[in-house]
Amino acid sequence: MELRAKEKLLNMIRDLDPVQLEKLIKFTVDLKKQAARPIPSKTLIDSIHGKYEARLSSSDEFAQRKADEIQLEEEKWRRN
Amino acid sequence: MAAKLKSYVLDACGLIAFLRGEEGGQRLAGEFQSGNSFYLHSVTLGEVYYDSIRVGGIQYADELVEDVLKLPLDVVWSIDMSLIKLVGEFKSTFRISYADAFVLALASEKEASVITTDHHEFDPVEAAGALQFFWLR
Repeated sequence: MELRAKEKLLNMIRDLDPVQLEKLIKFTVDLKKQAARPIPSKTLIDSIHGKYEARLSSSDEFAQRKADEIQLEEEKWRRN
Repeated sequence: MAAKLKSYVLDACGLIAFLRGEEGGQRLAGEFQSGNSFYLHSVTLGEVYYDSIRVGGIQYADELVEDVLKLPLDVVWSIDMSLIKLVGEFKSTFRISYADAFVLALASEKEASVITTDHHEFDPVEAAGALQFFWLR
């Protein structure tokens, strides 16, 4: 079964152009990384979730500062 | 048949919502256990890092980065010409920050949805049908 799948894959990629091949390589690299990465324990994720409440701006404050920066940038573009 | 795995790219607000335990952060905590793929561009990590330096100081900011690297995220450290072209296209098409153009470009490259809370910045992108979004709230 595994051999047939590999054969099928080889036949399918034979006609791909270089751009498509590059995409396939990137996809395969991601797939391999994903397979190698264990799903972390709930305990680990819970220990990080909320840990930085007092050590970061809120997401709303962060987004607002970004919106202000964009506004300034747009005004400069309009002036020039 | 196994469910198809999905790919996601986090923006700074999405990551902050999780790290601060804000409304919606719990959804991301659950998603991290799904086996789906999560990407974070280093430019986005840099945004959260500088904010953490300002608010909590560099010691906590370094600890934060160490914690983020323990999460099931692929941090994308590289920038190549194909990504830069996408960044330029997104930045010139929508009213977004340069850092968020990296979020959109990476999502486009990975055919991923963007995880965020930032409606002000990304609602127009979603409305234009440019990308898919996973709203934490």
